[in-house]
Amino acid sequence: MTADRKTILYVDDDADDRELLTDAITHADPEVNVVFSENGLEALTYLGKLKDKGEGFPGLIILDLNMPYMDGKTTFEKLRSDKDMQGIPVVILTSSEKQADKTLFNNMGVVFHTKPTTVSGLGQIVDQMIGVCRKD
Amino acid sequence: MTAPSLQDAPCLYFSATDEGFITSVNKTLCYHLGYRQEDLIGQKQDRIFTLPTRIFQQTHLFPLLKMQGHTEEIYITLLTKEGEWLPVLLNAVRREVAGVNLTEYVAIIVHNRKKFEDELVAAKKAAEAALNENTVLLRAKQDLQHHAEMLDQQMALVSKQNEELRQFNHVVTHEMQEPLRKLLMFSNMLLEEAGDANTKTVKKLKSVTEQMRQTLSGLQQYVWLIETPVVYSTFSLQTLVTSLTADLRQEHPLVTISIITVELPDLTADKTQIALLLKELMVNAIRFRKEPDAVTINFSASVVQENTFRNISDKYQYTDFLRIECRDDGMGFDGIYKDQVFELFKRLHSVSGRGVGLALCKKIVQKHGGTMKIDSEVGSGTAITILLPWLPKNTNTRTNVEEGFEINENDS
Repeated sequence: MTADRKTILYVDDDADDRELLTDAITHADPEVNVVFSENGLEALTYLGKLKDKGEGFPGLIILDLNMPYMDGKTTFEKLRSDKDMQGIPVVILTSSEKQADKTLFNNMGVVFHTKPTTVSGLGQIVDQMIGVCRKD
Repeated sequence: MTAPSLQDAPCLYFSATDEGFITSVNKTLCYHLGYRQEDLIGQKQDRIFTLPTRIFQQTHLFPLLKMQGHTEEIYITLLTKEGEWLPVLLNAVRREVAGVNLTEYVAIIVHNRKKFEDELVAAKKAAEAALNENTVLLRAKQDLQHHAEMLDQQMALVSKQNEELRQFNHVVTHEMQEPLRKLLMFSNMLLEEAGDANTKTVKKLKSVTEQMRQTLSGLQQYVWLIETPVVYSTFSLQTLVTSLTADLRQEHPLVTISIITVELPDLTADKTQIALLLKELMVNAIRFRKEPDAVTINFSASVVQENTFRNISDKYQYTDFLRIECRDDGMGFDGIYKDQVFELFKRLHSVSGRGVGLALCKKIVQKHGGTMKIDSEVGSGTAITILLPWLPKNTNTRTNVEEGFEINENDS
């Protein structure tokens, strides 16, 4: 399955964050399209549908950790155990400042971002994310 | 006269008048008391009665015989010629013979009766004591059961309260962190767009929010620490200090940070937590430096013997502890406040940070079973002394502290 290098799937239950990040991404690269899921379960269902239809997976999944129904950690494990989806790049974007969470994901080679508090911080994170998404 | 068949009968026989004179005795009686028949006949019966028997005879036996004419199974003692007491059971009948009132006595020797009786009494007493003891034991068991139930209820309550506290912690540290972060983000956006008139107000808003965010962040770390078990591994203290120094030099490019280390050994402890501890100490030293652009921190360590009992007086067990000292040349503080600095949110300096730093450090040391003390004087720096149990290398155990995040033993 070919990847859709112009689409980012953003999984987060927080509407403000979804709006902020989408604005920042669209601002940085108007060609990139952001789709949302409000939790892990919804994201997996969405990806399952793409798989059934044979459409390309997003170029990047941005995953929050604290979410209802299915949290980010479980979602990540499910993604990695699916042979079709395990290749999709994932970055963590969370408000959790737990050192243990950070260590866990860093050890697996997954980029871990704490949600920024400044516009410039947000810009930096977004540039990195677009870089990962559009990478051929 | 005594009938011939009675002479050798296996019982002691005698008869006496109401006045107490013996009128006849059989051979068996004479044999056992050591008299000849002629020694006794015509004599007062008191001769063969012991003193208690004499009294009993006058006060009880004789009145009874006069009243009902007979009596059975009376336990008395007879007196032998040698003066020994012979225990007997006595039956007696009083009747009129040829116009004279005569009492006939038949006695059988009961040498062992007293012994049996004593044994019986002793057995009864023992049985009573055992019953008593059993009752006491039963009551104690009931009490114990009752206490166990109470304890169980208390433990359930404590466990429930702990869970509530954990939830409360989560709300405080996570749910409140989120709106604050957004407040910061939005005020930052506002700051970029705002005209000069509003800039000052927005900056203030931002600063207050940032302060609160830092406090919450510290609290979050504190709560995390409480819930996380200690994972032991052996690592080089020297390497750790060196790497922390490099990080801090990067974070504070305008301050010359000099670190002097003396004999820092390999340590077996939780590396993540010890790194956090040392970093807090170094950050404090930098934050409260005396010179505007320089600070010197001395680290030294040595193995010492300390008493493991700290709360029980008169109990001593000396074991090895690693004594780590961290001394800076900063502004210091008045020594009278040295207990306060370990309290949560106790800030002595107005330039202070989150207010959890040293509380966090103390918690880490406590979780390792160690102690920590601070000495300071205004203008002459601060010295922090940490005592950590000195464990053999490669002690890869975890403390059993509730559930926490699994931490890879080789990482960080």
